[in-house]
Amino acid sequence: MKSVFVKSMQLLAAGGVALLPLVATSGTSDLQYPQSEWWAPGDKRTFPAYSEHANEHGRIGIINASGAIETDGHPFFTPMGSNGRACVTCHQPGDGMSVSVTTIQRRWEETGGKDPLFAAIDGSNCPSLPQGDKASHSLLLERGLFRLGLPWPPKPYDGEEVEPEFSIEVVSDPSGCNLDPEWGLRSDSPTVSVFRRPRPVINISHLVELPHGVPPHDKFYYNDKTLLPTDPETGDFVSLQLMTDGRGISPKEQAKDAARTHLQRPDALPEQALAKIEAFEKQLYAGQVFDNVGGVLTGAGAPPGIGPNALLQAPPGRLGNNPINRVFGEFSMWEGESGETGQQTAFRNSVARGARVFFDRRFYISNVGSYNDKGLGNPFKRSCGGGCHNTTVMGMDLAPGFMDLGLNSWPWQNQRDDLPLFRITCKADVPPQSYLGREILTHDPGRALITGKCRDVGATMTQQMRALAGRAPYFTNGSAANLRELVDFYDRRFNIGYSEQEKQDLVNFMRTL
Amino acid sequence: MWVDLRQYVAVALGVLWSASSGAGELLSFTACPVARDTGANTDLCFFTEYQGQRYALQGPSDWGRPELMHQVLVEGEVVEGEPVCGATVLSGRVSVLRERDLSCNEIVPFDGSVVGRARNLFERGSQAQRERAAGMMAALEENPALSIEAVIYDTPQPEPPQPPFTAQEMVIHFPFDSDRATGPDMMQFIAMLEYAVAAGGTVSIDAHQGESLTENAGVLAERQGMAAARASKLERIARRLGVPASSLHVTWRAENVPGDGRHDWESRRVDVAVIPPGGEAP
Ligand code: HEC
Repeated sequence: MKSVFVKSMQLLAAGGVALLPLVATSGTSDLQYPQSEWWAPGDKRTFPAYSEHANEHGRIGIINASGAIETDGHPFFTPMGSNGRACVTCHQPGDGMSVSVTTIQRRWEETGGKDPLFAAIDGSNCPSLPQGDKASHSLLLERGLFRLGLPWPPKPYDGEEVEPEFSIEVVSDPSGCNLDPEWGLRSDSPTVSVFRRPRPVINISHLVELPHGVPPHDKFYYNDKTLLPTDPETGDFVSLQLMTDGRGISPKEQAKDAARTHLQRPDALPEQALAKIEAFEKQLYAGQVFDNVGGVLTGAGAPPGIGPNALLQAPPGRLGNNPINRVFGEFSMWEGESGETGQQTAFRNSVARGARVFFDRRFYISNVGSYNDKGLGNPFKRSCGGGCHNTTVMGMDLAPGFMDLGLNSWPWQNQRDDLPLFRITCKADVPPQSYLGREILTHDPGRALITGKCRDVGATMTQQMRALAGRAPYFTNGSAANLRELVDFYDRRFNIGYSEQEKQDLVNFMRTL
Repeated sequence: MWVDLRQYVAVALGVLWSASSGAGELLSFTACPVARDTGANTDLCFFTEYQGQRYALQGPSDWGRPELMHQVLVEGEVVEGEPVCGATVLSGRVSVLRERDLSCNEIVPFDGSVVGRARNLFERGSQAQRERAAGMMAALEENPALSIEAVIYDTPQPEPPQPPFTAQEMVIHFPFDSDRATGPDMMQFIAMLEYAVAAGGTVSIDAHQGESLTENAGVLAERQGMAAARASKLERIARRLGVPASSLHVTWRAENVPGDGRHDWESRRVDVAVIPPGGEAP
């Protein structure tokens, strides 16, 4: 079974489409995980070449392109640090290799909060809080947020010292961690704590590919025309697509950082483990394959961009905002009679309309720091797919797209009383944040915590849009509990004026990705 | 039909405008940009109004488009020709001023007077690529799987430079108070660096900064250190792309080139030259 499968994968990768149904129809039962199932660190299982995992809206399909692996001893699945966690703790197959707030809550109930998932270091609002209390883990339990403690001032970046262009002051600190004498900004190792969702560890080979066909941006950072940073190991330029703030230069560097922070491993992960993690991440392809309302989403006659095969087949690192690719491919085959039941047809019609709204419906993208000011103009009139979510079959911004959408910085309608609030004051002689000036209130300074630049304050990296159905809540700071809230945010922020129908269509469309 | 007619009228009006503002006239001013909606399926265009005239705000590819919430510095020369964005065309440069001006916030809704042209990305590919894209487009209905195949390709690597090597030069211009060059300029710069490496030659980078004498806002001087920032940015790129330090000559002029209101944008520049071994500066 395995060798046949792998062979057919290779054929698919080579461009064959005849074999699509092999993995596209929902698999045979031994490949399915009927309920969203907790993968505990150290479990001895097989991660098959292809598997399906139930989630809130249906099932996600994951292709493990180099064939089944045993999790026993595999560094992604094995506790490699001191707190009992493994990478898989926060990157669960059923949750699109992120971890949903539903799973987190269930885990709390099942273990009375004892699971390593809730480790004090970043699974609580602050390690200094009483760890048995549910309230000490409120950000994780309510919004799915982990604490990230980032050094201030920033460490050298890409081999250069960083001289911050601004100072940071804590305006309010509900978690207590930014003012904490041991963990905070005034501690012996000054640290800024921000709270972020785990980004999905799937389709990484698309994320790390340098952009094709848009020279010189295979070497240059679009915004300011500096060279992209380089991978310290290979010396190659990197795509800057990993992590909210781009600090995960390469999968290996990212894994080193994750082991040190999330797993609390005192020494570096051995090279062999890093190589194994990188190889594993780069051959995982995932997307939704089954919807509880829409039925089987892939196979003959279905939109070619749905499901993990699309990710395996489609060329990485390509701009998809053209009339052929339409980012996620053609959906028009679902415009007519396309389901087995009336309900299925109605859902599929809605998805097809959603694909059109996503790609065709333009609106004024305005006052987005680190985006409108990178040469595009303010406003820039584009659609979701024609503007920021432009990478073929992935939907992140190929540029790469750090931007301050208004999720982190005030005054957009996103103020959160559960998150820390910082006042950033930029020096008078540096270029200001283009639309907020030199004094900025923000919940997460984002990219600016790495580069020290005033113009980067609040800017975070667009994410891939795959396997969305299994990994609510959305946005880096978990501010959208579901896809509908996500659409509502855009509608408010950019005054789009989507109709009720358009909103529902967009939600259904995203559910199938 | 009537839409076509209105376009026609707009063109005629535009010609009147450009006729009234004499070709060759030199302008240097600051103003708010105005965004104009050009239809449901197209990007906005920008113009500005100065002394009762409308001027189109455009520039070289990737130069940096105007931004509401910011004034622009317009330095140009009126050119004869069809109006753009319903306004007179200027040659020269438009710079976004980085300080905020919240009063710059006007968007003219779509009124049919200026209709944008929808462009798509693969239009800028080679003839062969465009033909392939057209073929795929035509076959899409039959074979929808084509819609997730590659449409955008890497440009083929140019032939490596061959002797005899000759001196090369280029000028890179920058927006006011900015060290961001355009993508196309950076491509040419990379090509020059590759040429220098192949030739074993030296690269000289000479950076400037300048003042702009405007009609309505006095003298605008670039921030101190702009020339140095431009120089060091290009130097770093040259080093990272393989030019040895010993073959790099980097200089900059810290003082602003004085402005006289005539093409002042040209002093915000870096002169780059490649000199092959034994050769002379161009
Ligand atoms: C405690 C939870 C947790 C654990 C354990 C964890 N991660 Fe993560 N992971 C996160 C969070 C949170 C982010 C997002 C951080 C950010 O954006 O700043 C993330 C992001 C990532 C990303 C970036 C994906 C993207 O699209 O940008 C990769 C890759 C990743 N993790 C791999 C790993 C590996 C490998 C391990 C084990 C060594 C690991 N993670 C362990 C929480 C975790």
